[in-house]
Amino acid sequence: MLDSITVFNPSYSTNESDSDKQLLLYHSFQGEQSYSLNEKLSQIGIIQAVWSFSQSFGDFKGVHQNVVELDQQIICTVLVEDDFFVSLAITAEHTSIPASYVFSHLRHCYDFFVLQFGLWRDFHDRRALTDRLNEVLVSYWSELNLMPQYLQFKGFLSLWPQAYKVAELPGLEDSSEPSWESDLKQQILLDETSFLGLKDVLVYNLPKPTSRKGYKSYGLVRNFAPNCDSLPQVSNWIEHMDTIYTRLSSHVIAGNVQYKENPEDEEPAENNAEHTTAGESLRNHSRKLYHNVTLPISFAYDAVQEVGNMAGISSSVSLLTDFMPNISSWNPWGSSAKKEKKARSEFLISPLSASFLPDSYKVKKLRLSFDQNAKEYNCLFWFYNEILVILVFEQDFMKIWEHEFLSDLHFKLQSCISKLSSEHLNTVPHNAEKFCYAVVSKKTSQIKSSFPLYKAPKVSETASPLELVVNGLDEFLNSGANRKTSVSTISANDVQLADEERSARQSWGLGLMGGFFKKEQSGKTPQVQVDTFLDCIPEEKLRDLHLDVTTFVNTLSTSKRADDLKEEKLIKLNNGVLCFIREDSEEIVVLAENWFNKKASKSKASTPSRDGLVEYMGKEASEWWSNRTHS
Amino acid sequence: MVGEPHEDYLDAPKSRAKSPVPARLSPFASGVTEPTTSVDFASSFPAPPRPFFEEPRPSSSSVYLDLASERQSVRTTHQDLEHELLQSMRSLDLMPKKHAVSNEIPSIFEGCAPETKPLPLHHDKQFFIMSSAGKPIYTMHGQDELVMGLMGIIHTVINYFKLHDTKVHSIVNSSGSSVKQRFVFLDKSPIILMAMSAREESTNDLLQQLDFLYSYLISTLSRKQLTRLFSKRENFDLRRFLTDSDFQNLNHICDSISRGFNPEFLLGALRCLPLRKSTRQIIDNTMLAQIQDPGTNVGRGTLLYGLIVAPGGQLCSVLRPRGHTLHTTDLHLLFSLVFNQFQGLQDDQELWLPICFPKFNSSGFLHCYIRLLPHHASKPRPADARSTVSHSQEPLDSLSQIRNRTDLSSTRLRPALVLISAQKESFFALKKIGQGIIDELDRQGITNQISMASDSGFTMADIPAKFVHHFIYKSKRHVQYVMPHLGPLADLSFPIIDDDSRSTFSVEGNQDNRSEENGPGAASSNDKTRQKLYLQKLMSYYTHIRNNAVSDNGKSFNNSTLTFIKWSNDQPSLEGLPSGEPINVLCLAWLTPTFELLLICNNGVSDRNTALKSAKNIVDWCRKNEHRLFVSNGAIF
Repeated sequence: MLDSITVFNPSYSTNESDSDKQLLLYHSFQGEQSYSLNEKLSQIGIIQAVWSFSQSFGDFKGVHQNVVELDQQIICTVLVEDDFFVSLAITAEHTSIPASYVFSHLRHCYDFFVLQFGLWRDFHDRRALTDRLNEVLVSYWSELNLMPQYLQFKGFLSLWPQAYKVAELPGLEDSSEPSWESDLKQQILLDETSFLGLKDVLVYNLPKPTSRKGYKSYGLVRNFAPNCDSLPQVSNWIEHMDTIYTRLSSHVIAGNVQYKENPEDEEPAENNAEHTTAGESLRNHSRKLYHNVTLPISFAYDAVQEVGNMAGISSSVSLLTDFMPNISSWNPWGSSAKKEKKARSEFLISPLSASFLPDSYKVKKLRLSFDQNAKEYNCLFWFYNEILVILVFEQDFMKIWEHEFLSDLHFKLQSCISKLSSEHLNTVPHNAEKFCYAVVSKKTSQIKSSFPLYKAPKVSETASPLELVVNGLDEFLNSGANRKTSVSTISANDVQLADEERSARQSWGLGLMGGFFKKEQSGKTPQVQVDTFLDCIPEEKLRDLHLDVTTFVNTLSTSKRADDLKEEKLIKLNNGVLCFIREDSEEIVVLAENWFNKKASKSKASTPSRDGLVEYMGKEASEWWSNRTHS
Repeated sequence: MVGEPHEDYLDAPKSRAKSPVPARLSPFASGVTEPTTSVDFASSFPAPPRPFFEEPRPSSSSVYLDLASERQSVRTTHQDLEHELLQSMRSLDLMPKKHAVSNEIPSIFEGCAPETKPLPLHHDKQFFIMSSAGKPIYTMHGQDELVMGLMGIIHTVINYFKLHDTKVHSIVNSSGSSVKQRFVFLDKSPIILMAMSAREESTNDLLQQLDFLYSYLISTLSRKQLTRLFSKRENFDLRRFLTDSDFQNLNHICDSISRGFNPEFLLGALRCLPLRKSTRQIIDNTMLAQIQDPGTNVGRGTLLYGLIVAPGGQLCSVLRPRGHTLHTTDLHLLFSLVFNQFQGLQDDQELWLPICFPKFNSSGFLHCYIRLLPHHASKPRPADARSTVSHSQEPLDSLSQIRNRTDLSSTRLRPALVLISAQKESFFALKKIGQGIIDELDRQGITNQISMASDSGFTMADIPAKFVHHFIYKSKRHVQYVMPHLGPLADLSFPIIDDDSRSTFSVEGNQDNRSEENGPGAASSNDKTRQKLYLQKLMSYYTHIRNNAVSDNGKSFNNSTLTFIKWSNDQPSLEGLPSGEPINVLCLAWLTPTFELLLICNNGVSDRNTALKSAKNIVDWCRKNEHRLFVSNGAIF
């Protein structure tokens, strides 16, 4: 479990007496323990001692990470900006998590903070910074503390926290006819109304494992400004939210949700009828709520959908779904006829959202950097099924506040992105690849990878279920009758798939990303398309593989080879793992396959080539490699 | 001659024409990391190429010659020649065209950039030993005044965590994705040891090294005494208690860890001297006969262990009671002492020395009778004169030159006999046994064989493995390793005592530079430096290779792991421009439950299958010759 997180800046303290000024944040995740200021200061003193001690041994240039390994604890410290140290202590069982994973999260957490609230040194008031840190860092790490499995969800890709995943969509590169991209450029970017105001458009594809397994097509599809430096930060932020909250919604992006541990005092022995009544009373409750739009409430996650449309509170819905044979017949409003698989598209964050919602639902201000020049931009979020579009507007561009403009934009986006979707996302199923690859480009920090991520929610039996709490709404409902669970209980392992939804746009402009898939009542598992052989292996094995590959790739980080050399390695374990790693000045390539599989197809054309070790990977892998090097 | 009891693979060539002095001045001759003699394959085929270990060098130092190639070139038997050709890199078929292959390995690691203003504490390797109260005991670099503050910090940090019921194991500093520094702590209260490394060494490697340093302290003090000293006064100053030779030995250990070629630390195994099975049998029997001889009349328990060890810490034979073995670390420690401290012994001198073997019993002392085996190699007996002359004269000459240059009084390194007893008063009993063993071995000519075996060993040419520059094979069952002979000068790593003072280390770099300019007189130290650098390079290679099969905590990736590592130039060199020797090195680490093989191919060999085939051949060969290569049981009484 996480132990504590500390943020401090030694330069804030000038003399002995004000040493407490350097401490910006101290949060202990071990609830009951409380430390005196002295203890906190001595802890950061030790961290600094270790730091300065290391410096006296020479060549300390560029060192910004430090791990202290203790008996049952590791302390990871990272230096951000000039003098800000962030230090995280992790105890016991999680020491099996490589420190690099922790660093990746520390780095991301910092990046996400800066993205939303600016650099730490730009805070002139120390207290204001502390408040913000409390808000962002503590909630970030508390959530990870509740769901430690997410510490390692990115697996060995965590080794490159500054890199971001790009989506590889089939046929994206070689389409010659006027593509969605040129449409988008013509209709939106170059459109005279928004030409000056629209800085960039970022298109993400965030597929869910329900329809298609595999990580290949996940990530940034493309952006249009060539000089955007913040892509890694934005992309990782999107990916983080999408992973942690399982799905993006207005609330998630607005930064208004948080996981909380569900109090365990629930009586499990409630019968069906009670549940229904509970559900109904809640429904009444929220119907009141629905009409009473003046209430200054901010709203939540997938619950929004239900609140808006079904007036069901998600927890009650989830309870009900267990008992009702066919959820699709249950529609409290009885109005919308069901339309199968209609593409859903709307704004997640836009000025179209209801006026009572906080500003963060209307525009998301992100601090982005173009040409090394960072400033705040107004960002709108729009989605089309599993495609997320971020529109980056200049701050002084006022047209985004006009509904006319927005609905125009919506239709343009719809036409472009639906083209993207139909051209590139509905591809014919193909065979699972027998190998996985990851390519990290050092120049562009792009990651192309087909390694599936380890996302298995490992909810232990004893842990109380987690619920996603929307600030505001839950407090309101808690005061109501019979309220036992949160608005949007999602125990992480059963992502609630509601039935097809009407768009909530008419109501409040709140949205929840992604298509809704009908739960197969017959128990027939939906056809899942698989990218690679690893998509089918058990999660535990996948995790072990990731750990193995992490160790392999770590050998690159300790290697002291001369700069002008490239290093290749081929590592074969007797458990079937065959891994090829190559690092040169441009990129790092990792390939993995199971050499047990290879034996079956032993027909190898012995083409002597000078490419070296990659030759000895399986046929598919070496073909992939030669295609890559030739193109 | 034919009747000589030499192994084929140990043996010097039977009749050897004096090989022509190869043209040593390579077109690329200059600094150490510069490109060196590459043998262009196609063009040099007709005339046997002369690959070198290291850079081209003045012709006096023929010791640098790769013995393998020397031998190959002088084989007279047609059959032999053919055989050699087949297994050597000169068989053209497998070689990629237009590819230069050289029998040396290029430098592939970051050079230690000469620091513009070398700060006293800026080193890529450092060892600290201090007491739990924070008092300095030993530091590898730096004056006390400088390290005192640092030790204070360590003391504070360690105590802080001690208060929180935990211990610091390691600190790793990294920049981006590359590890810059690694600190490892070993808390053996009342002493604390710390290692710093900016090299490619895993936490486990460093821990092993610290354990060795600690073991040394225990071997001279014993744990019991150490605890007693500190129990009286916590801030006891151990430095006062340690002798000069203790510090010299610590210096020596640190130096051999950080600059020498000592795979012992990496592998946790002892090196074994390859000897013919029958020879080893004779040694065993001789030792057994001596202690069982009623004439010697020693009581049971007088003698615990008997060892014969050749220079370089190469174990020849063990005499041990049934069911008892000595720990590798203990033996390593003992050998290190014998070859570092006691090489000055004359034939008729002997040592009676209390040593604590930390892994055997850290609270008590055992007593060692140490005596060097007599040395006749410079006056070879007529019977093996020819072979000795042709094979080893040249190396010996230069070796003794170097010896003379460095240490006028000493002769060459010599094998030693060590007898270990638990009884302080049994010196005369052991002396008698020792004398008996030495006389008998000498009578049978075994001492000479041991000397010769340790001089020559086996070379790559003895093994049907193509394109291999060097390898290390460790048999896990025996906890011993073997490697092809590096050439006599390689034994510098287990030194000829050079002035081991701290100042030498810190100014060594400057000395090198000076010697370059000083003309012929300085050439020898230049050679020595080169050889040292070569060994360090080799050590970096092996550390790197092993790290690719073993994770940071010292466990192998899997119980069976096969790793290939390849380095090559990143950018293709531009046509027409002068460029360094193309680098294309393939290495292999193969770890299984029974053995570990680390292997470096010749530069230019990029074919994995060739490397694997060679590796398999080496493993086969080592298994086939297991009895010659390893001491399996020793003489058991």
